[in-house]
Amino acid sequence: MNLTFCRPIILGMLLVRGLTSANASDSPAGVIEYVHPPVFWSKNASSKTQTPLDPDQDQGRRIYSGEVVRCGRGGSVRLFVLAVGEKTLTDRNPPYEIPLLPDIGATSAGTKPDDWQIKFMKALDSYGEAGATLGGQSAVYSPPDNGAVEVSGLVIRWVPSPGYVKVQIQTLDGQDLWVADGVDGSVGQLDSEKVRHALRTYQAQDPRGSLVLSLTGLKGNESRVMFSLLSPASEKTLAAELAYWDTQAKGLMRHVGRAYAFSHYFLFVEAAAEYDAALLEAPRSRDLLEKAVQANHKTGNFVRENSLKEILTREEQPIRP
Amino acid sequence: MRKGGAVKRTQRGETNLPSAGVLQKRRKQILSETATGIIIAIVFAIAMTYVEKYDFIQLVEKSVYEWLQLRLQMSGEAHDTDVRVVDISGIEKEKRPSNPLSVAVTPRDELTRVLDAVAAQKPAAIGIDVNFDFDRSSGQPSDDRKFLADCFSKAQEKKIRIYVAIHHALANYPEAWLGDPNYRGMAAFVTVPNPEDHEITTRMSEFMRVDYTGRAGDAARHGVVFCPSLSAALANREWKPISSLLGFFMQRIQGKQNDQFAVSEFLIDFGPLPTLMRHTLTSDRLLSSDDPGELLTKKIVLIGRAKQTTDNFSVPTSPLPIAGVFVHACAAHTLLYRPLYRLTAPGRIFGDLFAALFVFGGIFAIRWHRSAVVSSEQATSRLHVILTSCAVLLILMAALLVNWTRLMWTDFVLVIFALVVHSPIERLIASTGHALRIGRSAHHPRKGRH
Repeated sequence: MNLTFCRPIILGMLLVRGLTSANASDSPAGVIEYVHPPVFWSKNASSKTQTPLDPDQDQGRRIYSGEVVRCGRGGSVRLFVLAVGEKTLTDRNPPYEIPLLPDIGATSAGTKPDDWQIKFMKALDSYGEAGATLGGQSAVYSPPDNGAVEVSGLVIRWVPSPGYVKVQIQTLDGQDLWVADGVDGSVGQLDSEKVRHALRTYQAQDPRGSLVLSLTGLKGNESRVMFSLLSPASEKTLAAELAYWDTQAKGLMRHVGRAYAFSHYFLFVEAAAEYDAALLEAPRSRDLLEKAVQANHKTGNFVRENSLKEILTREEQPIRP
Repeated sequence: MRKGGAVKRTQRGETNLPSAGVLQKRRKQILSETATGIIIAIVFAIAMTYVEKYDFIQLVEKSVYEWLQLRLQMSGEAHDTDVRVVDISGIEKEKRPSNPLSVAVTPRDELTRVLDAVAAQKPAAIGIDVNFDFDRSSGQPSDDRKFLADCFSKAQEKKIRIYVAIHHALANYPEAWLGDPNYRGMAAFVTVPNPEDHEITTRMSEFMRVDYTGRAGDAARHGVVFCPSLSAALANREWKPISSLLGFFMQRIQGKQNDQFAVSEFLIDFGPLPTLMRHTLTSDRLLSSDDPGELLTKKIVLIGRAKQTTDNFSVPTSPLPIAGVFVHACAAHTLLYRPLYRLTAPGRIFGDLFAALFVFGGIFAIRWHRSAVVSSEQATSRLHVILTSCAVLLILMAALLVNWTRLMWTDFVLVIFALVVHSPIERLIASTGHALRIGRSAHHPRKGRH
């Protein structure tokens, strides 16, 4: 994949993500654009373990505040760091510590949970559940929370659960647009022309209006997502952008480009699908895995997000001790 | 045709004393029947420990448990609880200002307003049933830190105990539970144990003992640490352990543990649930100009979502699942007033046996005493009356007096069932034995008898 070509896209996404999502599961401080070995990476300045970077596998790799990059004899590396911009290092430069991110709302530096913590959390989850409200992961992931949908392609999807659920779409002022009771929760999706018809009717009156979809289960648990409809004008622009990527790129680049276009219009479900398609071609690509995790995180599909994270963890282990 | 011809009646209907031989035979029969009854009871009590996993038995126990919980609603303290819930369902969840792509949470500035209004009424303690876990990989959100700082300063300034809910954060070392070592004392976990037998939530954790020694690096220095549950922290009351002898038969808390942590659990008294729901104060009312007075003064106050929440639990006495905040409120009430007790495994067997011996012993005493004047048949006919009386007495002891005993004994219905079926079983055993004896004597006629 041509990283120089992709850089605006990757950095744009990183910047948008970095500046807007302080609490996302990862907040990289930059990316590695080009590696000419030998180049070494270490977790921090005091770490004695130095991991050699691979020109292929580590192209596009995210780098985090506090990590250190050093070039060996004859080696060079080009980074893009959010706080300083492009940075090229050679064997003449001292080890470079990635600077802190600009202040984006988080007040304490993040660390990834260790094995003990992961094991603890799993044990805790099997013991009981939190009896408190949390800014919750919604069971609904299509339409995505705070995302948009194209009416023609809308299929309501949620994390399957046993029992019957009530599906309801309302306007922000509480007016019912469509309600269905007794929907089989274990199916996990609802593909209904009646829903699309109701939304088209609504769209004719308010092309950019926001809507609330709620899913109520047997226990009274409610999952709500707020979403908007893609206006007909945006649909046309998006179609043109997708056509560009379809004709000007192929393979991985095409999927990445399309995913970017979908993300731009808040069509997170479609963006996630593009990354999943790209992963079929390059299943071990760390960068794509990370993008797919991000995309699925935005849709709220935490089941898929977690499975991707597991793959990512397996792939990362040899590199990130 | 009347049997028992050995008893002769006078013209006035009085009963003459039977002969010594008849009396001896009658008493032998009473002893034999009582022994059979006790053996049946022992077999039944032991069998109970094996059959309790079956759905039907669990259903019976669940129904009895619900009934006992309904009885607890009758207690005076259930109507006069000092626990209150402030419902923040009226506050819409929003995306964090610093992160429009994050999941929606209760806006912290709104939560601060509610906290201020509650604290102004000088409650005994405040529990915030909003999960303040944060994703360690990205750091603690700034609005959470600001809110926690407000809580901490308010607790210091107004001398109010304030606790904040955590769950997964227990995986961090204690100083990081709420992101700052100073806030450690405010952390209280809100993990509600998954239901076991009854498919309904009946238990709550009291304390969690986390063993950090297994962690790599610096975290291991924290060793073993205790964290209170939200209800235990709010109640802030220590109950004396049961004496060792009584503790063999009944317990207040039950321990559970795995490699990472150990918890002590207690049974929740859902008696105050209707009162808690009735007295729930909405944040809208609390914050409105319509002054709610001093409804929360000296009370234990839980702030949480009572409606439209994702933490709902099926509990006894409520046909619909209730929000987690009510579960914590009932649990805090339980620890604040009187805890509930349950039987240990030996206690259950002993309890069942005691009930059986109580009944059969009573019957035996009456029959023994009356054996001189009442025939076995007359005594048998009165057995049903005695059994019914015993059943009523058992119900009285186990269910009607549960507010006094606080013992959640669910087996008494099964004991009553055993009492009812014991007579047919006893007759079956007797007739089988009789048939066997006849069969044996037919095949092996005794020597010397003609």
